[in-house]
Amino acid sequence: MEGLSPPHLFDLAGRGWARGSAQACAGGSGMALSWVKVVRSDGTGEGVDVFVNGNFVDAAGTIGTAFRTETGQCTFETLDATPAPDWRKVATIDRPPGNSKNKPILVTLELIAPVPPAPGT
Amino acid sequence: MRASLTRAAAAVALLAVAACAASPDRTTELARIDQRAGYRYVTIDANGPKSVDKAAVLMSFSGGGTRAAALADGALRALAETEVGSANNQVPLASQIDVISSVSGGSVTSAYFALYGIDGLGNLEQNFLKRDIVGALAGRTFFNPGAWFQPRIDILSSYLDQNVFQGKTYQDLIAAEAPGRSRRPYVILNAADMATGGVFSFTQDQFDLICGDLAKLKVADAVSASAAFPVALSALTLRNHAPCAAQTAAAANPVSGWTTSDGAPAPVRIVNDRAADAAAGVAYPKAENLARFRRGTVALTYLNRDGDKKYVQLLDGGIADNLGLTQPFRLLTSPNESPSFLNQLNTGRVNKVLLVVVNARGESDKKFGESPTPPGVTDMLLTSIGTPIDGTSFQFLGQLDQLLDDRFKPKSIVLVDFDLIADRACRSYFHNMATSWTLPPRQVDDLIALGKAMVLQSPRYQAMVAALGGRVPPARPTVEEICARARLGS
Repeated sequence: MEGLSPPHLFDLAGRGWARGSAQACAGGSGMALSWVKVVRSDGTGEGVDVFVNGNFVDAAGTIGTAFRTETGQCTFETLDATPAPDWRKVATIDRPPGNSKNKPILVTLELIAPVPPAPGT
Repeated sequence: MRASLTRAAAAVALLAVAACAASPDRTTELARIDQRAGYRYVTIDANGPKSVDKAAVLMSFSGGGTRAAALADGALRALAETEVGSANNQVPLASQIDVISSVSGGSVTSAYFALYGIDGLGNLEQNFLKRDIVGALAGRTFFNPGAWFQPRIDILSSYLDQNVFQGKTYQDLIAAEAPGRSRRPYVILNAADMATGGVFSFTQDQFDLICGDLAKLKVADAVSASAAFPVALSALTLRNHAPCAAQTAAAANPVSGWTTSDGAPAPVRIVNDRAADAAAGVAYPKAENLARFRRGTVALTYLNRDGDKKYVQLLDGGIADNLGLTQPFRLLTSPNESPSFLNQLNTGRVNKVLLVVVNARGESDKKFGESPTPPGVTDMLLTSIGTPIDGTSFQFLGQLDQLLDDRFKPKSIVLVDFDLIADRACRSYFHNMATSWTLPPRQVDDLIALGKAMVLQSPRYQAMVAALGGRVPPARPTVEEICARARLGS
């Protein structure tokens, strides 16, 4: 009686998987993720949470520290001390050659103009 | 597979007497969209915080009827018997699971575990796995004239509601029943939307789009949708309440994650997924990953802007993704999701991940290759239905494996799959078990034992458990012993 097959899923070349091609996928281009570094145009906010694409539950990273996000259009925001986003940038993130944690795409947030109070308030 | 096709044919014949009729209105309109309320990971996590830090634990359960449900049950038992944590605070690894994503037969086990926890693991065997479900459904159909005019899916749903899930709703999954009772894990039951062909997940994030309150939905309805094997069962119908006042109000709330796009409310994530540059009548997506553009396009349909998606028709989730890996993949690679393990990794909240993939794929023993005669209509029809459901998603596994290689130390994808059984006869024994809601009790015992042993014997699992401060108990019986037993019994 033989034991279990090899421990690594992709060590099974030649064993005749019924469908699919794990090897090809494992050697493919991988995730469509890029490293970005988010800063504010006035240079403030180091360490403040950055939220991506309206997900205000899980912060995606912090101001001044590189992190990974999906390629394509993304909305970057900080909430800081206010109950609404105070800084924002909508940017298209691509995957330039050499993109890495040490060579991230720079995203610069702009201050959101405060909404004027409604008449009579 | 021959047995499974025969059973499927019998199920079609038995259940075809049930006439097609309108389904009950299962969904209640959502009053308010709130990222921190409803059936979402964040509420489950708040009710049952983990005691083991910086580790994400995910499982996915495939389809395959009772074969899949039993194999998944065994895998869960392995995690229940594994203790992790600090020396003075050892807890079962099963209590630390973040997410289980499941389809079809696997959804019975995941939903049951979400409701009844580790203590309920043994009960599923008596309440479902070893019952003659096919006989019970046929009896309900033939001997109850009222059922003849019900959609066939309602017969399954009412059976599961009464006999397995006892009337529980998603609200029961959110609320802690007693002090200390953990609501963990966050279970994502997946069906397939007939209109889009995509995965429809029973989460409040998905229900926000159709403006439905998932907390009011019966768990049995979601499980039935996830397991609505085509033809044998009818689709499960959900009312789409979008567009609605809650969505309009959300678009006016700057921290709801919603905005106004093209004059109508929409989640920011969908707007960004769908972003494109139009030129000469062609929209060129801004997303380098075209799957993201497709994701946004599918999600947009639920907002019902044209008024032609008043209902969502759901079938077996295995049609869209038989391993239930779509959601784990998104949680690990997208910043938009909740929970986003990508975000948690970015911010240092997670640095280890364990993903246990349970695949109960059957394999045909039809001798199609031995004869020059084309197979008959029945074989073709049942193969057409069964092939995509049995098909596996190795693309996801390959991409996930690479992702985890790059990002997590140690990484651990643990695969529970009949293909990994080294002994050919034993492998064949498990592959050829029927895709049915009724299996011989001995087969159920063997499946549970196999699921448990394959996890416990996995070197990757053992390495991950060691990194979490635990030790894996020996598998009793081992895969070898299970195979020897199966050989003696055959």
